[in-house]
Amino acid sequence: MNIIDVVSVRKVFSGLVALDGVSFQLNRNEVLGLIGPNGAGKTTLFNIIAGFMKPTSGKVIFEGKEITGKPSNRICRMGIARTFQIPRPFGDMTVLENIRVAREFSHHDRSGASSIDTQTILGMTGLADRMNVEAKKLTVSEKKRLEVARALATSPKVLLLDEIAAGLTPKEGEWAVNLMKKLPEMFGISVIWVEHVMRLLMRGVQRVIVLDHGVKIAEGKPEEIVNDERVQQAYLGKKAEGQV
Amino acid sequence: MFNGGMKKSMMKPSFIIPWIITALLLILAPGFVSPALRSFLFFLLMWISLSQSFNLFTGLTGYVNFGFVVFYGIGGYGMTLSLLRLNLPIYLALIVGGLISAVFAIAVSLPALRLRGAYFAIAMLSLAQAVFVIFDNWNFVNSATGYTIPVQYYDPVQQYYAMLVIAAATTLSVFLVLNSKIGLALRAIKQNEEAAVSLGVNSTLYKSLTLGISAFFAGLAGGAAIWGITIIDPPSAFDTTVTLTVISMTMLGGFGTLLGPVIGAGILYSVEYYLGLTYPYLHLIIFGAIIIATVLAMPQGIMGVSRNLMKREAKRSEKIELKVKE
Repeated sequence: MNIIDVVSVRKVFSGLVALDGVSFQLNRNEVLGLIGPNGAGKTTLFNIIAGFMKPTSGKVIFEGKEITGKPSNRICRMGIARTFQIPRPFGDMTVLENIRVAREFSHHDRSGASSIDTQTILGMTGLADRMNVEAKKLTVSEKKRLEVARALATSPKVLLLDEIAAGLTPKEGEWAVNLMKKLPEMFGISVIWVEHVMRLLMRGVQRVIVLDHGVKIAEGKPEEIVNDERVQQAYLGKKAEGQV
Repeated sequence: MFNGGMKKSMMKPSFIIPWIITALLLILAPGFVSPALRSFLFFLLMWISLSQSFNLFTGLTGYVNFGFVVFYGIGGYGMTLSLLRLNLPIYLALIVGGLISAVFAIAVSLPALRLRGAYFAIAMLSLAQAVFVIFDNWNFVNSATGYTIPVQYYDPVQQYYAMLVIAAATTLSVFLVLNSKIGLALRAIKQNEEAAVSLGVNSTLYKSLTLGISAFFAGLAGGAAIWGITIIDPPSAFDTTVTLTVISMTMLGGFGTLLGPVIGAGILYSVEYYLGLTYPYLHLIIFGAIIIATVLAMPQGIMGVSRNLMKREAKRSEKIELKVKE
């Protein structure tokens, strides 16, 4: 059963079409990869699902209820959490205080929301020995993990992860792949994962959708996507005429 | 543990005793000081109330309220009209003034707080100007003539105590907000509003609420000030100099701190008072110099500097302890 339905979402920025009728579903307990070249509309799509932007037309349905255009803090409290591509920590607060903000303000609209305890979150994101450090003093990698830790502290049903592995070392990247295994199995969280590091993404997801210039050009299992001609064209450019 | 390390240090006797002594001195002051000094203290307490209520919103949210004086002026007019038109008792009139100011603040916050940064500051500045022009031409509030508070209400000792209570209540409210869930929301909003909102913080609610509380205390202080000054008219009630003075005081002491506005108001009002007696308007130049020096040398104000010194001291003593252990 699907937890999120995106129905022909279109977004136009003063003449520029960022998203042109994109539709897809996210299944319960699924990790869905969302890929596409720069400017394909991935972050815009996240902004629309998370309530940071209103679509020009189209709908976003979460657990059977339309959430299009609802304020983002409300959408968070309903159970959709996001991370930011460029980390936005509360710099003067410690890691624990950052997590506390997420915990304090996200639990009103759901009774009996299963919350993940702080120790587990710190363990999963490898921030346990940094919990009393001010967020501005963290490394880039740690700031990215803090984004994830805060989002998890809102006890989400759906997590929107925006490039959490970009700029990380291969070893740090493995952490992201492992996380994608844990989230649905252990906590019943469904995930949409935007990532440029294909090597990691393809191992962490069950299904992939590909955006190019605001249009969904492919959808399928990771191995199908890798071999899809249109996807290769979008990433590498068209083959010249007559070439084999 | 989570409350910004504030509560623990507040329980220390070294922190509490100076406060108790200050409070006792201020409570007993009218009994032994000269009328001139009492009047000085009255206005000092007014500036503390105003700086503290300005700090409550701008210091905690980071939104610079350049139209702050409008809440002072509306509180002053609210008090005056309740007293003269509705014949309410003076203390009730003061509270009505504060409430009108708060309601006005929450009403304007809904459109104004959609703006951020410089746009919010300019919108509030324009608002204060617009309200000035309206009051200056509005017969209902006696337009440019304004009002004089009748002599039967004049009671300097009562006025002094009213202002003392307002200054204490405003400071207490900053303390309570800092250590509450609202304080946590505001800290998050100040540091990164988008992130706060993405984690479920209803930023509009907390910003409007805080602006309302700030305006309530500014309105109370405005009402009490007019009670003491006995004259109200639009140019003095909506004078942008009030906003600028309050910004300077809060900035000098330290935005978002509990004691900063008290210290800033203490220093700047003393400077203004003593210079004003001999060299009128010279204090404005001095204010300007102090603001430039503050921005350049200690952008977090006096409290920021003392906090850094304390941190350094703590680190040094930690190191010494480590060495001793070794």
